[in-house]
Amino acid sequence: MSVLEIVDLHAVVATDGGELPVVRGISLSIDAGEIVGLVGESGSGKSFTALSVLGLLPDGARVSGGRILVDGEDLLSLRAAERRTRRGGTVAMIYQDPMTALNPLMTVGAQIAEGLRAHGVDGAEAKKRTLAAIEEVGLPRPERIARSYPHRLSGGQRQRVVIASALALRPKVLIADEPTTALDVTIQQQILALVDELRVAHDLAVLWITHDLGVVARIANRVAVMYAGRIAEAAPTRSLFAAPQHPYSAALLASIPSPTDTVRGPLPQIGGAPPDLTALPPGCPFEPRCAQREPGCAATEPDPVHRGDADTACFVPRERWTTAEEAG
Amino acid sequence: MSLRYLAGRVAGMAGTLLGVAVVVFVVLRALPGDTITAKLGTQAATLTAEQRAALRHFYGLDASPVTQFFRWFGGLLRGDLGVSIDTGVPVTHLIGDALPVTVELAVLAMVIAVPIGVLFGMLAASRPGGARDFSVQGVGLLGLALPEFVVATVTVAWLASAFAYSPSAGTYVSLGDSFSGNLRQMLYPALVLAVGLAATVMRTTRSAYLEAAGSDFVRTARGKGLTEARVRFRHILHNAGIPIVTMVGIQFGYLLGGTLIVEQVFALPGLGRLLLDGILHQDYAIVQGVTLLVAAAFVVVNFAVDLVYRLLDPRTRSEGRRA
Amino acid sequence: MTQEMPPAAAAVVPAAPRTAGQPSLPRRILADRNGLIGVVLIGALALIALASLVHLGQDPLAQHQSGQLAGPSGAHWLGTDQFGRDIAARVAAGIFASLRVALVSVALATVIGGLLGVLSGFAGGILDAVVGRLTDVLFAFPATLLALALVAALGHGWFNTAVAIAVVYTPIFVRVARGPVLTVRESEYVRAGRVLGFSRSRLLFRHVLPNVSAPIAVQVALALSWAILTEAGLSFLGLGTQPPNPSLGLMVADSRNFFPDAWWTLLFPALAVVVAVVGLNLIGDGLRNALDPRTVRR
Repeated sequence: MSVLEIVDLHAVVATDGGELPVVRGISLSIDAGEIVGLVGESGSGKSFTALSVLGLLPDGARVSGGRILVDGEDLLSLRAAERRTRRGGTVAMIYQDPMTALNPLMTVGAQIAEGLRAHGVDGAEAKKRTLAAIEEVGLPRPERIARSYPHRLSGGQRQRVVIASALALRPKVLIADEPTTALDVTIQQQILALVDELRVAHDLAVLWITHDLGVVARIANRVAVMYAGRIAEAAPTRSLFAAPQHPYSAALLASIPSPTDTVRGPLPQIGGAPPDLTALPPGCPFEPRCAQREPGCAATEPDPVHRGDADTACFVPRERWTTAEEAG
Repeated sequence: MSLRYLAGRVAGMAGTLLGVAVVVFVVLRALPGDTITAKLGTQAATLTAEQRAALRHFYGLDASPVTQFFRWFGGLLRGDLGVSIDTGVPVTHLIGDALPVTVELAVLAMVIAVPIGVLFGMLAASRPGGARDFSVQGVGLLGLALPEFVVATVTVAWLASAFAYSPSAGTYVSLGDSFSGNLRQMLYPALVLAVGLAATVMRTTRSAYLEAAGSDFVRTARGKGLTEARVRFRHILHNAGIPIVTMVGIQFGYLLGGTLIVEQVFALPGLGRLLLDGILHQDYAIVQGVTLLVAAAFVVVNFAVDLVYRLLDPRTRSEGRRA
Repeated sequence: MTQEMPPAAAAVVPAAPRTAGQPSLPRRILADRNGLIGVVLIGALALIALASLVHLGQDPLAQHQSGQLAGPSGAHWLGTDQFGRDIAARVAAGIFASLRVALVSVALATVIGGLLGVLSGFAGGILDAVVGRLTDVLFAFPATLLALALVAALGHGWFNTAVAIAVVYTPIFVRVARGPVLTVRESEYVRAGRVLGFSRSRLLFRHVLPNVSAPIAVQVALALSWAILTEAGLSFLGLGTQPPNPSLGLMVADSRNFFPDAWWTLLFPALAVVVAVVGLNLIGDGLRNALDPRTVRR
């Protein structure tokens, strides 16, 4: 049963030249205990999607349509005060840079406890649960960690604290905004393992935002690839890696360095520029950069169709692709 | 904050103070006009060479500059700032009378300006680029650009025409004499000082608040479901508070040496007025004493600000092992 | 998007950034709204000051018997003062006097302070230590107090005022120039230059100076505005320009007894100071925006 269900989400951001569509009709659902990877380049709308769920879009940006359901409750129809209690309470987020995600002037324990207090947990109980949360993320000597200021902790320790803070209230949905990109490779692996462990323990629905398909392969059950504010392809991770149904997914996969490559030749790149959201073409937004484009692609924007295991917004089935791209 | 750090800072401060004393001595020995001429006025012309030499010896002006400096500096260490050549009163007494006036003026101006500046700075920063931000910033720029002497002049002229108030009419009433009488004399000059001060505090608050509000940890705080009020005060303002406190402390130091115009216009017998009289009468024991005192106070205030900064920010407060 | 995502490391190489030629600094200041307003205000004041040099209007010292404390009229656009002198001419001459002190003092401070800062930062060693100690000591004085003490020591006159203000501002320029020099000195390309055997002067002029000019430019605008305020304040106290020479600070001081009835005696000189200070601060803001690559236009 899906815990998080995003239905036809639209978001815009105000600019001098009017409102810019940054999320253009995203639909996505995540079950309890499932991790869905949301992949895309900068500006593809993946972070806006995540911040919409939390209700923390930056000034000037707003959700302009659609629904965001958590356990069947539409977050977008809630009043601001109720919306606030869902933040941290049912939907929590962990962030990209653990060095800056914590308030430097508060002890780590106080920062975890204040989240609990904001949701009506009383002082003594909040203290107890803070220590339990710190212990749960595998940090030794919780009392000592709780009394520390963030600058005393290493990057990995801080990310664990951020995770402890996010999960202290036992949310149903966890949004992970590239929480491993700022960390060393070994620490990355530890954090990935930790989130996976906690997902199992608490039956969390996790939305994992990243530009790194390697991380997705490691942790996600399913993947949604975003391009120009829409989902280009959504598929089970295994299927996407085995047989991508969208040329953009294929291009992304081709640009991952493979550990079996013996010759360090240049990685294939996707030519051309990401689309300009102020002037989207009438057709498929990927068409100008697409190796598989056909004459009809520039005329209308494709709607998602079910093909293989995937939902793909592409007119051209894999069978018609030229082999050059497939080789990647 | 370790003892070693403190000791180092105190030693550095002592060095700076010594440098300050040297600069004051060197600069003010170059004061135009001979002290004796200034003291005796036209009579000086009638002095014989012997009389002149005797007087120079009496004031210690015949010794070498280095000897004079150490004489003067030795006196300083014993709390002797010399004697006003004009009135014969010890400079320490003059300063003792004047200092409370200036300090009270500075404190009062701070008490008025800081809450206003912080409040409006936050208001401006809460929606940057908006109409409110624009107007608060405009008023702030005007507050900075309006010279103190203009504000003081207009205020006095307005008070004179509206309430037949004349600053030079009455004598100064100290806090000890009458609280309300003192406040009546001090309020307007403090308000004049507060104009520029509030504008400075406002600008610092605005930029510090904006800087803090854009931090990742603010998003983390919101993501925990905290109320907006708690996010603003506990997280944003607390972090913005460090630069604000630092700036306010430095401004207080400046204020001790910057009340001159207001004291002059409102006829208040503070340090600034004392200094100005000293300059106009070429009474350089006074000028040296006041300059030195204010510079020393400025150094000490800045040192205190630095200590407070270190106490406020755990990143500079503590050292030792990582957790 | 307001939040910048990290570049897609391995996945997708983004298109090459726009490489349109960077517009020149003056052009970037004029493109900034604040900078443009500032340049217009200061330009207007400079024109008025120049006009006073050639006595386009009235003689600032001439006492007109016809009217003392007369309001603005066709003959005297901004009215006359208590001696029947033309306020417009006096304000214009006062602006000239202010700008002269400001320009000379800031030029002195920039050249001496900037040079000392660059040299001590670049050379390090004893020179750096001595200069550092000296600036520390000068910084120990509140700026106004130091200017006052110096004027007391040097005596009146516009050049002495300029020197006093210059001394106060020199340590600021030393610091502003020294900081970037230290950074640049340790940077890769200067180290590379050293390895390649470039001479010190070449490194200094080709690599170090261009990097310190930006923060100095901002500081110059702010220093000019402070110098104008200080000059006016000193004159107000009777320690700057001496009567009967026109000075904005003195005019305000004199107006005290005639305000608010003869409001023009105070308004116009005060306005000139305010416009100068606002204009210079706006130019400073504009410079900062134009020079700071992180500035995001809102």
